[in-house]
Amino acid sequence: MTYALLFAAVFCVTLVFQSQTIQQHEALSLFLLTGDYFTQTFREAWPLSRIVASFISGFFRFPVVGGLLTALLITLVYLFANILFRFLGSLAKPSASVLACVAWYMFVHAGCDPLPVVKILFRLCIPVLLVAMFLPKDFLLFRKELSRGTLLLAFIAPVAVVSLATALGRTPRMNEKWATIEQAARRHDWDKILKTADVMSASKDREMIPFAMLALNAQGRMAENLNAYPVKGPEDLDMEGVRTRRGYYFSSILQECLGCNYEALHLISQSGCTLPYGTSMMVLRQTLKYNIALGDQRMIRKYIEVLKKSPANRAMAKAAEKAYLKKTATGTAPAAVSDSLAFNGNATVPVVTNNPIYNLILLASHGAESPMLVDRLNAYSAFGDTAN
Amino acid sequence: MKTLALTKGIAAAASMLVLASCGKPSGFEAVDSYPEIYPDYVGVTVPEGIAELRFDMADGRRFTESRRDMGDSIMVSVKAWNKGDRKGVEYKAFPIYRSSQAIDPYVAYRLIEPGYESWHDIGIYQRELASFDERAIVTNEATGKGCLNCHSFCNGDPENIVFHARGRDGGTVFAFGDDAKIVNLADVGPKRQGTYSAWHPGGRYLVFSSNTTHQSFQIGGDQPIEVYDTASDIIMVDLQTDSVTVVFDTPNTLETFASWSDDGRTLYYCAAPAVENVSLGRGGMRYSLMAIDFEDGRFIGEPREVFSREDISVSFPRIKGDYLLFTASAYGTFPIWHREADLWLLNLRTGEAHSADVLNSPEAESYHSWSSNGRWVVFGSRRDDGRYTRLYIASFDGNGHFGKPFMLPQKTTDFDMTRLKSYNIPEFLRSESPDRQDQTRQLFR
Repeated sequence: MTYALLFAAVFCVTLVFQSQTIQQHEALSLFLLTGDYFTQTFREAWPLSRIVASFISGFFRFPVVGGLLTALLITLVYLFANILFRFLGSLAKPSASVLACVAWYMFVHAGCDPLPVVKILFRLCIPVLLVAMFLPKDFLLFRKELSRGTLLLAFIAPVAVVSLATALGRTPRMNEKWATIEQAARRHDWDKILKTADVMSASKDREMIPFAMLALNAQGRMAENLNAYPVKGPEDLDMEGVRTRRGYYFSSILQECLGCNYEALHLISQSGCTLPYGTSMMVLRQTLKYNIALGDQRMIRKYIEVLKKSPANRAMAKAAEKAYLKKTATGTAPAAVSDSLAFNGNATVPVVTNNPIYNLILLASHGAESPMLVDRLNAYSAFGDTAN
Repeated sequence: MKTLALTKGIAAAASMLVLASCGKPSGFEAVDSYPEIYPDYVGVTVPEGIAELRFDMADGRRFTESRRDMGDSIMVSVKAWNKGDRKGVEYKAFPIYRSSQAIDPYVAYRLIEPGYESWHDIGIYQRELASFDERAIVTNEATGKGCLNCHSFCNGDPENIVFHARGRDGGTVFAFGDDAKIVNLADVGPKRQGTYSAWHPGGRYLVFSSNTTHQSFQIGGDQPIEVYDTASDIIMVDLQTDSVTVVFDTPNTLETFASWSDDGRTLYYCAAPAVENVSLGRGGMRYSLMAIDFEDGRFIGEPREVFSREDISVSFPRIKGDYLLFTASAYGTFPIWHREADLWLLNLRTGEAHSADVLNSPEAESYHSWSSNGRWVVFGSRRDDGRYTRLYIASFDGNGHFGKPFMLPQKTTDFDMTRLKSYNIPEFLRSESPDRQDQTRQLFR
């Protein structure tokens, strides 16, 4: 009964308050059934921890499965701790087990780093044993005098309270908010971004402003809504020069929206370089997406083959294979238009610079005529000419 | 008891036979063509003792293969079918030629995300050619995740290696057996940083090009990236005196990609006139092949042009005997992102140069290295997918002719397909390299 209640409580809390966060766990993790993945992992510290954590995180792609897995794992931690303390004889104390799984839950959901899950599990043994050693003996025997109902209440209530507190704390809430924004940006769900990165939230965390601006821009409303958000200057309209995972990620989505798929590829790859494996499931999926946009059949083939090696992405990869690849196993090479020493065509193609306004002008001069581009140019021009 | 064992054995053999034949067509139609396999090992020439060449049907069909040893070649018969086919196809047996020419036992290379600007894991690795064994020589785990690049061995001797370890406290690492030191070339002598290196065959001198490199991402076209230099000169390090001198300090000319002749008496390099605003004028950047003589630790005489063509930019010259192999591209100095980049062979005695057609593909070929006896060449090629560089090895007859190249064999046929790293700067090694990880870590403490 205790286990069932614990399972249900964690499942509900996870699904209601943490569904985006657990998806973000998956997006930023990497698990592939390839020789290269395992070889590389075993060259790093904590290889088993990484493999198990990444394998579990893979299923967080589906919130319900993620919720079930989280609940199952926490229940197992509780069970494991209970067995451990029973094994230790007179030190049997479910309260310590409760503390064990609460601590585990807090650690797991405190941040978005997907790797330390199992590492934490190992480390958990230490606080659990400390609790076991230092709790007063009277307290340990206290449970014997309680009724079953009181016992349940005594053990489940703290789990529920701490879980809720963990889920509703400032950091987890912010993580959930950011996970929502980033995933909505990936799906081009601009309304959701605007709903999540509202003016109040953006005032507290100014990194949300470029996302909100991108959403408005995609709807063709950026220039006219500059005053709706606390925009201080053109630097709030993009994340140029922000060399963080989120900065690169934002810029890749922006370039994708503007039609610069090579640059989007570059930036999503940059974003991946900030992650523990140098890439992640999300980066691989985005890379596949951009290669589909570029029509590079061989790269599509490659990334489909890579994604098929992920248990949680296999079905998606097979669907993509069916949709985009109808050629041979090695794919079809693009026409070798440039396989001639006489070909000089690429030398005249404009290159992206680190001046966003100049890039927009280049794009416009290269034939791009999207309303988004015009709207963005108008927004920049509201701050004066900074393209020099 | 014996009868029972025999019965069990027969039963096991029968069940294996049933399992083996499960799903296989009852008959095969013979066709007079070679199978299309991946990697393409049809008609390649391989050295003795190379790891097994494993392959799949290029179109993913099921197949069986049998190999017949013919002495100087192996004939491989392939039968292929689709699931559910009642009749399969039996292809003409294809040869894999054996060469009696020895090959160095190891090849070293760098593994890196086929990147774009940043990196996460970079390492210099070695692969034993007789097996699938790949081991790290040094990775950026030892250098605080900084970039590792441009490794070079003295005459293929793994005891002497030089490579750059960028980032905080970074510099150029010189390792000689158990001794290693790190020097930031930008802080000593003429204060020039080192980029592409070439070790003099005598072991005392090292020349580096000193490049100011940029990269740009194209808005369109079929080339994602252009990498170019806005300045480059050549410097020389004397390892005996620990001194650095500038060989070329010419702001109007960009010199890069130096390489020594076998006897160490000539330094070959690439040079191009400087262009203003290279990003816009990159189409006009064409490098020529130059040479200058070297004697008693000094460069003598004037540089001379060895090879130049209006439609070719030369990069990465590598010399063995009378032959110089270089990469030819339409323009620029970073051919790996140029699909038109091909390997060309120059006969240094006659001055004749031609495309080494059998080595080339519609995608980029670059970064090649001769074996120590000059009978094999390893190079990077993007022929498989246009983006990830893979290693190919080809035989050379010593008279200007290469054999069909074969992909570095892998344990599983999809290993390279699913690997998220590119290979670059392959170099043959005469023996196994020591592990440099701890040695390098000490330098960064």
